[in-house]
Amino acid sequence: MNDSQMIYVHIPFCKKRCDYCAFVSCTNFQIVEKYFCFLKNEIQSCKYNTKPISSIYFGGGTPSVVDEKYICETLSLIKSKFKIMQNCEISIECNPESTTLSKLKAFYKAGFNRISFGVQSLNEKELLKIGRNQNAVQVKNAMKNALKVGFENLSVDLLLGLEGQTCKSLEKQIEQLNMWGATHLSLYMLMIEENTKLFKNVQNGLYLPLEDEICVQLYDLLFKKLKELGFYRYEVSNFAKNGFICKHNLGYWQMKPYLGFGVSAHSFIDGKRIANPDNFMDYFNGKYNIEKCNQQSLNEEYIMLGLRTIFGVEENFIKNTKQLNLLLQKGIVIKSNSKIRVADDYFGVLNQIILKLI
Amino acid sequence: MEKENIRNFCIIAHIDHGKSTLADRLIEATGTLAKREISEQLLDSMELERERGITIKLTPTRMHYNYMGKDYILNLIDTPGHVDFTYEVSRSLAACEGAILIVDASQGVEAQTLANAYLAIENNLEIIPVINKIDLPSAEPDRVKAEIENIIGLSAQDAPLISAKEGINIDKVIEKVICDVPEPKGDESAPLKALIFDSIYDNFKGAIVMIRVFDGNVKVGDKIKMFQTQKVFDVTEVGYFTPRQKPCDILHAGEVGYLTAAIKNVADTKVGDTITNADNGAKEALPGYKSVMPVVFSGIFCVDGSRYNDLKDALEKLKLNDASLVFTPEVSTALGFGFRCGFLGLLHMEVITERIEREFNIDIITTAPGVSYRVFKNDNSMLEISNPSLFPNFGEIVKIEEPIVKLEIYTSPNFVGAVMELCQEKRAVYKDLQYVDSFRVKMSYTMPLAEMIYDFFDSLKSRTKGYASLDYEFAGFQQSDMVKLDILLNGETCDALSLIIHREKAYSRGRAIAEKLKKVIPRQMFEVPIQAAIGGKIIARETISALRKDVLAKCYGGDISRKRKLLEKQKEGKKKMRQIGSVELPSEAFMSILKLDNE
Repeated sequence: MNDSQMIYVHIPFCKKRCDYCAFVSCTNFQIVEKYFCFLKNEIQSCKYNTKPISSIYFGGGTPSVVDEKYICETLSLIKSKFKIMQNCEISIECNPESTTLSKLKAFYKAGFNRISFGVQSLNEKELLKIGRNQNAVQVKNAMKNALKVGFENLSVDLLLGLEGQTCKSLEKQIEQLNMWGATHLSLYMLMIEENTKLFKNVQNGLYLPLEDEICVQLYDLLFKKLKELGFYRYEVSNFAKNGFICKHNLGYWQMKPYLGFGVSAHSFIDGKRIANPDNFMDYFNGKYNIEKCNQQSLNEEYIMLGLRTIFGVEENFIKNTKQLNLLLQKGIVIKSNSKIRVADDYFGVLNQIILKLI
Repeated sequence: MEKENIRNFCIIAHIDHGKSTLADRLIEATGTLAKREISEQLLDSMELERERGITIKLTPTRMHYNYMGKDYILNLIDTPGHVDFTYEVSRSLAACEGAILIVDASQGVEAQTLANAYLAIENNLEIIPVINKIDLPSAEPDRVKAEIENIIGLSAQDAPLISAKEGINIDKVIEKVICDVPEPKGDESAPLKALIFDSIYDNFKGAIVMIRVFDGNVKVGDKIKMFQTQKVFDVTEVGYFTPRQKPCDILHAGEVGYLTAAIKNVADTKVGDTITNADNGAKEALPGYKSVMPVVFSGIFCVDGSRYNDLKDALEKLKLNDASLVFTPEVSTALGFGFRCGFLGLLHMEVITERIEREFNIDIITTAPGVSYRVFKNDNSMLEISNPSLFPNFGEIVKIEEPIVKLEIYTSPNFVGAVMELCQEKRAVYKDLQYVDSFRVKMSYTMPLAEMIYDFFDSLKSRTKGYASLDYEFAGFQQSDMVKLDILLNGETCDALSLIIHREKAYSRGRAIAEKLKKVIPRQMFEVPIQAAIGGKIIARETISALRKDVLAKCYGGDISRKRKLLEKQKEGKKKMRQIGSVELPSEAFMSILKLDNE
């Protein structure tokens, strides 16, 4: 199963930081040139190039904001350095407003075959309150152009829990995205992370995220709607039409090895989790952190990650059989063949379930 | 030293009126310890005592003082102030001839001032009123003097006006003790008669027995005999406290001190017992005092079940110094192995549980305190049961008797109405009301002990603004309409939450507990009904809605460490939970149902 590996490339640049974002990103485009120089260096010097690559993912930040030549050069370097499998999934995250027709053409030509649009919402009001400047028309055009260029696999990220969100508006948005050609949807809950602008706004009463209970109700309704439209949940937050499950995403949860390149990127190689520094200075000095895991925690990881998917985990990995039986009895987890998976209604409390089983 | 130069006395006071501070000053003024050796409040040696400012164990201290050219020995025996420890007070009083009664110069006579003063009068002690804290701007010594005369009936005209904190007029107190407290009586040539008023356990010496010698004397090598157990021991050491242990050759009639005799079992040194010579001993024991009986029972369990043996150790060690603590093993389906413990009252229970957690570092769960019932079954057998989960099926029960106490409340006539109202709420039966004088009434009631152990004393104090004192004694059993109130979580009875309660109160308490539990139990993955039931009939129901959203955040660039951290954090929180059937309960849930009345 692990005879192949995946590659993640981090492009940490953004035009503007969104209010809710707590990840490494940079709005200083003067260091783009330097960054890609080091990034290519890192890829070039990678020793783990024996296994074939089953998926490549360019994430960010916003990969679509930098000149497309950097992206395309980087991908071509990867293609020359590693053995790429025939059906390799190659994704790039794009921001609708920075995704021009010419960029899409370049990406397609370079070999990308999947685009993940960071949409978050089609409602301008909802977006403005979290510091994003973007509208539905931009999304529609970007998706239309992507289809025109030849992309068939279009994913969209949506945020749940935004101030002002209603079930009606969300259902309508999903219908529209479906109409515009989405084949994959990621539905994340808005997290209020410390050290973000949004956190301050919430504390000062300037931003009112939806209450948990309402989020859950929305989720339940959307879940139904998505099913109607042919989107099936294959992981806690991810929905796909038949044949469009994101291999890369699924690989994370199924403990596939992956190489991460770029600032703050993570790797999982030979049972070890390795993290690059999350600041540019250290990254430019070539310092990499290594986190070691013992076997016990790999077992825990297997459960913690595997239960996120509808494919579940092998029953014999779960040591706490007493709890397992209790959860089975209550219908919180379901057993089929020798696999244990979380029942649809209980994905929202996944962590609680994991805690009982590890 | 001649008997005529010995003075045995104690200090009695309401909590916070400055008892321990005065004790420190006396020790300082008599040069018993140099100032630098005195850490604040010497006599309260237990960490908990200092922190709470209460005295629990007794520490007798011998002091020397020269007055008008004569050397005197002054033996000070400290006393606890709380009503739970009244029996400890009476123990100290029995060893003394006099008592210093401290009254706060601004607060005046309070409940325990009164209660302790009467105890002292009962014991025929010479009482020396002392007015403390005169350095405070709010001090009103004249008003307080009048209160002492009117409420207690003691002459207070030449009561020393002191400040123990500032060291003002401490010598006046000492002079009063020397002049007013009678010298101890007793016959040095008679057989030994020594009263045990406390004992502590020392790992090397065995029990250290605190005694007051009334007749005869005792020295190293003497063969002594305990009156109650008839056990014989060889005295290995005698001495007195300075307040440190200081060995001496002999303790004479009239003196206070300690002896050790390689006594391995503290139970052999029953407090209140009399020690005499093994050969040709005294014919009669000294009048002891009421033996102590636990009245409040509660289950104690470890949060971490694997520490059962540590808990056992802790209780055994505490018992060495506190004969009033009793415990027997108990098994609860909800909480596992633990102990059913008997206490003198709620404060005693709190002190013990706090000491277990603090001194032995064991996290414990305490179940609701209750009393011991007599249950008569239809097969003509009778069971004494203090653990609700051991109650037989109510179908097999013919009748239940609950313990009652005879209660005497002294208060000002202004508060008679308030006290009556409170007593009625607590199922007390009115017996009598007497005007002791124009300032004081004595109200007599009988009351179920179970009602008293909850918060009766605190309620009484708050409703009378502190102007009430309380005395009670056990008065047998009476038949009552008691029921067992069960709490069901998710349909399963949680035995550790069961209560025995009067039928009339079961309904409201059941509802209150269900409401309270709804607040303290975190949401689970499924809906949890909380039900209160009497004999299978549900009388109250609350529902904890299911936890439905936990977290669904994006995972960036294969960074699973954030998810791991969150999981670790949640894992920590879980450790403090108890699994009851399928429901997770925080340990405070068990105690929270006790505190219903205070809300």
